This record gives sequence, C-alpha cells and structure tokens, in this order.
Amino acid sequence: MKLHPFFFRKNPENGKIFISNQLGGWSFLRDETDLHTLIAAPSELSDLDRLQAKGFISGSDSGDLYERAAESKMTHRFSRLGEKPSLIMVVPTLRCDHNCRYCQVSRAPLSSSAHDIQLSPQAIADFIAAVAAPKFKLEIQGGEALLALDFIYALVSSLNKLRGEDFEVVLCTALGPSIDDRFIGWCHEEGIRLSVSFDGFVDLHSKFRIHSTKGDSATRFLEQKRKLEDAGLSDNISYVSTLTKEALERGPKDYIDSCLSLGIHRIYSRELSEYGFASSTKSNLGYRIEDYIKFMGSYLDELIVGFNSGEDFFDYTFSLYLTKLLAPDASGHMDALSPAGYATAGFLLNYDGRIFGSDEARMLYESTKNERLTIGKLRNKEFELQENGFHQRLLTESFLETSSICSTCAYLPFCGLDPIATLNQQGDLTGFKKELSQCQLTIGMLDLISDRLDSGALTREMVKSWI
Amino acid sequence: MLDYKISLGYTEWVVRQACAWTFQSTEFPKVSREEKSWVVSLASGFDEATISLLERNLNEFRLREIIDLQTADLRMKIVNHSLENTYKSMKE
Amino acid sequence: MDIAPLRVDTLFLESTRLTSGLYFVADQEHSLAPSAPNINTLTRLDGSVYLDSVDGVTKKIPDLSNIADGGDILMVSSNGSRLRTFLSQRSLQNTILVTEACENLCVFCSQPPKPSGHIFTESLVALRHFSKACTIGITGGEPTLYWDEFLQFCRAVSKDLPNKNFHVLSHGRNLSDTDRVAQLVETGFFDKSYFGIPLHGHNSKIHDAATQREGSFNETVNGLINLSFCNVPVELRVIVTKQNKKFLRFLADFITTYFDHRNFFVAFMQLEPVGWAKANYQSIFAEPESVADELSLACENLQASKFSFGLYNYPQCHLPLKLREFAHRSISDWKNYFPQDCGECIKKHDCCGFFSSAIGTRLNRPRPIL
Repeated sequence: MKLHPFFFRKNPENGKIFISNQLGGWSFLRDETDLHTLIAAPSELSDLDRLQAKGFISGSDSGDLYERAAESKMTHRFSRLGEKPSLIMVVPTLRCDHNCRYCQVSRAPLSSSAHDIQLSPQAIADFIAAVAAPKFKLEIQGGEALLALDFIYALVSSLNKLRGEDFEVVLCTALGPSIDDRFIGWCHEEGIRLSVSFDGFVDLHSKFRIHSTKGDSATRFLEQKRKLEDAGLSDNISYVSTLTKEALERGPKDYIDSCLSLGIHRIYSRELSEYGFASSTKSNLGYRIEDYIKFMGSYLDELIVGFNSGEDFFDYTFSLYLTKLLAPDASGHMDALSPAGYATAGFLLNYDGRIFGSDEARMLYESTKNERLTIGKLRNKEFELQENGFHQRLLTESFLETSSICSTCAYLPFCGLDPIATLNQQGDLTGFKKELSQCQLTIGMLDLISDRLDSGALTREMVKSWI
Repeated sequence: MLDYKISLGYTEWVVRQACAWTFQSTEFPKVSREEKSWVVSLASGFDEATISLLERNLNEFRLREIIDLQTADLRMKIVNHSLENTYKSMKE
Repeated sequence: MDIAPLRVDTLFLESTRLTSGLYFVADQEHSLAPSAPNINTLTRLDGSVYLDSVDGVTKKIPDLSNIADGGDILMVSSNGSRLRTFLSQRSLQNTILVTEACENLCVFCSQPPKPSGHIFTESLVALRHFSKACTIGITGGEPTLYWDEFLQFCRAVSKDLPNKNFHVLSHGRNLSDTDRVAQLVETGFFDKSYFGIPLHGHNSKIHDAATQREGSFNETVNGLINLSFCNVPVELRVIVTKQNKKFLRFLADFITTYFDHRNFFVAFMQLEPVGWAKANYQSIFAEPESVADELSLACENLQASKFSFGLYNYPQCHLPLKLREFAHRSISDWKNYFPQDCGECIKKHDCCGFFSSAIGTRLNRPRPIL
C-alpha cells in the first residue's frame, strides 16, 4: 500500500481525527492510534476500501494516479483566474434610508448629493457586456438599491439589448423606499431577485436597523414584505440576516420560530462584518467567533430536528459549508475561493466610477480612502486601468497552498479566504491567516458539518434537499 | 513560569509551527535555541491550558513532519506543476 | 406469446447473389451524396424487384420494405449471401461496430474479441451518404485500438458531418497517453460527441479481475483523468455484477474523488445476457434486490457531490421506489421487449423493458405495477 500526502485535524466536536487530501477527499479515523497506523503501516487498517476510494492510499501497482488526478483538479481550480467575471456588482448610490449600527458599507446620508452614480447606464452596460462571462449575475448593491431605480431600469434595459438572456439580476435592499406598480411589473417581467436584509427578530431589526425617515424599520419591512407577497413576488425574495450578540443569546430555536412566524422559510445568516461601521461597533454588538460557532452548532441541530419532523426551514449558510465539503470544486462564494475571486471571478463598479476587485475592497476603500485598492476608473467613454502590482500581489497571496500557515491545515482543500481581510484586520497583504475571523469561522463550521455528516445526524435526505 | 523548555528532539520547524498555532500574534513568545533545549519565553508567562495546548501541538506537528518526510515532495510537486500549468495556459 | 423484437435486420439471399460491400437504398427522396465516394445502390422497381447499380441489372431479392427505408445503408457479406442493415433512417440507435479486436477480455463482454481489422474507411463512406441528423454509436471490440484510423475518422466527421454526433464505447486505456488525448480534442470531435467508458471497481483488484487484464485499471483511470482534465464528456459505465455489487459505494466515492463532476455522467448498468455475459451468467449476474441498498448508497454519494447519474437496463419493477426516477429507457429499440407478464403495468412508458436476449431461463420475471 502506498500512502498519499494528507492532512489531519482532531475535531473537537467528536474527538475523532479528520483526514483530508488534495483531491478534496476526506474521512474520519477513530483515534490517534489509527492515525499512527495510517502513517506507518496503512495496510493494517481495517477500512482500506474507504481510504482507497477517498484517495488516501492506493495499491503499490497504481503508478501515479493520485498525482495526476490531484494535478488535474488543482490546475482546473487555479485556472479559474483565466475566466471572465461572472459576478458584476454595481453600486449606483451610497445613500441609504437606514442607519444600521453595524453597516459595513459606510453608507451616506439620504440627503447627500455627492454619492450617486454619474456615469450613463449605457456606458456601464457597454463595459459590462464587453468584460462579463457568457453567463453572469448583476448584483445591485448600495447604499440602498431602491433609491436608484431609474438608473437600474435603464441599466437592465441596455444590458438586455446587449446580452439578452445571459444574466440574472439581484437587488440588495432593506425595503425602505416606496414600491410602485411599475417596480412590481418590472420584477415580474425581468425575473428580478430581491436580496432583502432582515435579522430574524422583529424587535432586533427595529433596534439595530434604524430607519431615517419612516419610523420603525421593522414595521416598514413587514409592510413592504406583505406588499411584495401580495403582488406574487414571494419566490423572488431571499432574506439575508446579520446575527448580533442579542440574536445569539436568544438562541436558534427562537430564531427559527421567529422567521417561521413571519412566513420566512429560507434565510441566509451571516456573522457581523469586519468592515465599515461594523468594525467600530463590534465591541458592543459583537461576540467571539467561539460563541458564534457554538450558536451555529445548536442551530444546525435544531434544523436537523426540524427537518425530521417535517418542518420546512433552511439556512443557506449551511448549504455553503456542506458544498465545500461535498463538492469542493463547485464554485462557492466570491470571498471564499482559493485562489481568490478578487478582480477575476467578479468585480464592483462604484458610484464614483472606481472599479474594485470585490465588495470588501470597496468597503475598505470607503473607510480608508486608500487609492491602492482601486483597480481602475470608468469614465463615460473609456476605462482607465491603475497598474500598481497591488492586485497581483493580493491574488498571489490568495493561493492558500503556498501559505506556510495554511499548508498544514486539514481544511486547506475546502477553504478560501477574502484577500482584503488580511489588509483590513492585520494591515498586511500576507497576514497571519489563522487569526482572521473567516479562518476561525471556516474551521468551526467545517468541524460542525463534518461531524454531523459522519455521525449520520445530517442524513442523506437532508443533504439532497439542502445543496 | 516565563520560560518553557522544549526538547531538542523536536526540530525547529515543529517548534515554530506549534507556537504559531498555540499563541496569538499579539502575545507571541520568543523562541530561542540553547545548548540543552529550545526555550520559549513569554513576558506574561504561561498558564496550564496554554502549556497543554502547546504540548499537543508539538506532538501533532511532529506527526506532520513524519508525514511530510514521506509525502511532502509529491504534495509540493503537485502544487508547483498546477501553478506552472495555470501560468502557461494564461499566457496563451 | 411473448412479443418479438422490433425489426429483422438481416436477410439471407437465396437464389440471387449481390456483390459484397455497402449498398444505398435509393428512392424518390433519397439519393447518394454527390461529394462522397460512390457506393452501390439498390433502387426498388416493383415488389421484390430491385435495380442493382453495380451491373445495371434488375435483380429479384426479398422485398426490402420491411427491413429498409429509402436512405438506409445496407452491407452485403463477402460471399454475397447475407444482406444486413448498416445504418437505418428509422432506428433511434444506429451503431457501427468498427472492429472486433480488443485488448481486454471482460468476463461479461457482449462482443467477445477476435483478431480483426477495422472498417473506419467504409464507415466514413456510409456516413457520408447517410442523411439523417442523429447520434451514432461507435463500438467494437475497441474502437481506439487502431488509433491513427480512429483519429482520422474523428477529424473527418467533425469537419464534414456536422449533423451527426457520436457515442464511442471504449475501455479508455489508449487515452492514458496525454498526447493522444490532445490530438483528439484538437479535432473538435468532443464538442458534440462523448465517450462511454466502463469502470468496474475502485481498485485494480476488482477492475482487473473483470477485464482479466492486469494493468487495465491503471490505464483506464489515467485515461479518465486525461478526459476529465480536457473537459471531454464521459459516460462512466458501471456494469453491476456479483463481484462488484458490495463495493458500489466505494466506486462512487472513487469517482467523486478522482474525477470532475462537470463532464462525467455515471451509468449503473444491469447485465445483458449476450456473448460472454451469457456464458458466465450464473457466476456474475447480481439479482437487483441484492444490489438495491448498495446502489442507493452509491447514488446518494454521487448526488451529494453533484455528479449526474442514471440506471440503465433496470426495469422499473426491479428497483426500489426511491431509485425508479433514475432509471433510463436504455435498451436499444432493436433488442428490447415487454414480456406478457408485464400486462397492464402502469409504468410501461417509463420502463426500459427487458432484453430480448434474456428470453427463457435468464429472464428475471417482471412484477407489473398496477
């Protein structure tokens, strides 16, 4: 028997030894004794078929199958850098009608005159049509997207003429501004997806997401939600939730019940951001990653209980981590890829014409005004590229296989880190990756998911319906 | 205690990796090699939990070193070839 | 009485003999392609009287209207006594057997190998005259055995026959050579065609025991890795037998670990009792009931890792409920049927039916779903 390169980690959830390899194969060994046996005398283990099938060992006559397969997969993954961007984010305005305490984008006040896009929708559409991948997603961010509807209608209309059926549109909104029949009709016609911020609990939503003009934000949210549902747009809405310390304290059962009571069956819960205003309010609103992971563990267990009793509720965050373990080569979120999707799989066009490699780069720019973060500027007739080696360096550092701290991690084959994070959290391009909140989060979540899969608590039925 | 001694039986790589995964960068010890042992020094001293974690990490990285003896060449060959292949295909 | 298969495809010529080779069946709508090399034609005059273009003479041969339509290509054997369908306008699954030679000796081989040449040249000519836009199966023996001719064939059909695509059945061993795969990809053949390649187990012990050729696992897997890397579409065929049925979940894991899900489709196939499979049936056939649990596990593993898959040659009644949706109607129209016991079964239109070759002792009786 031949032993292939592999990584290991003792999973604190179950005390077993998680093993993984460059093929994305993974499994559990019972204990350290089995780990020693695998290293010293693999043919003595009892689970040879499983270890062979998952790429840990092979017969001495098997030649270089592991090497060739691993090189093939890794080359494919690295070659994503050569593909055209499939996520195009546009920020038509930084103005927002909410005043969220943990706002990550440093939004501008409603009355501001300097924070709206000056470029023509046609110029932007031309640019996007020229650079985007054959199929792409147009994501309108902000500020508040609904404050720039005229611009958005025009942009989508121009893009329709240039790229027809090739793209889908997502609007990120807190649902504050008024919605009229034109908007509703447009959503139906174009199949618009609305990514709506809602934090799961009505009272917490009111408390942390302060509406600048229309009174209680939760009331407004519910009213608008109702309006969209009555207009037949329920299926177009996905909910994005930011979990604060208070939500964690209330616990997952209350969280789920609260969502269900509002008719919300699908939500995407995220941790507090490290960017923008969030980084300064973190000490009040925040929590340690360990607490967040503990909450996630109980949350997952609640979801499992719910699924088994026929409840229809699901959190997309688990789907993301499940996919990382079960299908690591299926593309994941832009900020969790290795090499990073920064400037390659996606980019962001800001209201001021600046182009950033990611939403995080934009957020960091808004709070620091550091020009190195800019990739270029789009003016109505031309695109000016800013060449400074900074972006190449970021991308180079994002190959986790070449990071000495990551090279021994068992979750390396499944991980990807936001390259701007080291700059934001550690002031450095290389950084000490193990101290990034995203690293700790990834480790914690994969510990949870791998344990629940191994124990069978996460059944195949669940996996089937969740990924 | 302010100093913790580690057997010279462990290589420098193992000692440094174990420290990297035990301590926070904000409170990182000084690592030096003396005649009879490695010495890890921290101004604020070590508590039991930290020592326990450090010892566990030393053992784990010793194991990883053994794994690498057998497989690191292949592991890095794969990474390097993949990087070369990617670079080549992007030049086209 | 059990229903017979769809069509007769071979005719014995008694009194009249024809010159051996390819024949085109001409009629008002169908004539030879002008840009291609000429082949013999048979034009129907009246009843069983045909004009043979070879000598311009009318010949009395059995009426072909029951076995051949205009635009069909027929092949006459070397002694002139046998006429068989080569390419049929009516068939949904035209297949060309390009050679009978093969390096493997699979215990369930449906077309046991013998030393043989190839017919790539004749096949190409026939295809040039065959107007139908369709998928053509290329089988053997091993189609890639005569590599240069196979490559040339791929090049020619990609260039000149855009309305056809191909399904090539191969053991994949010759594709372990990366240069060959690169040549193949360059022809553009795989923009529309795909390989059907069998993998019998997750290690050489199981796979080589099935192929009876040491080293076949390594070469086949290397071939599959190359195809995976070049994004060539592959139908990975797992023939389920007594010898591998307990390891299907490991095979599924092996597949998800070593290959890419984007261009691979996994087909689990029930044995067809022809060739060596017929001779070895008792020792290799796995009752579907004994396979169901392991098969489910394997399918779930594939599904979780985003691989597409299907079950071939499994009648609906031989599968547990949760696997039925994955069964394909895979048995070619010229070799399947529904035994009388199927009766009024409500799942007939979803079902692949049974192999006509299984009639008799090897038929696993249907249990109609009513």
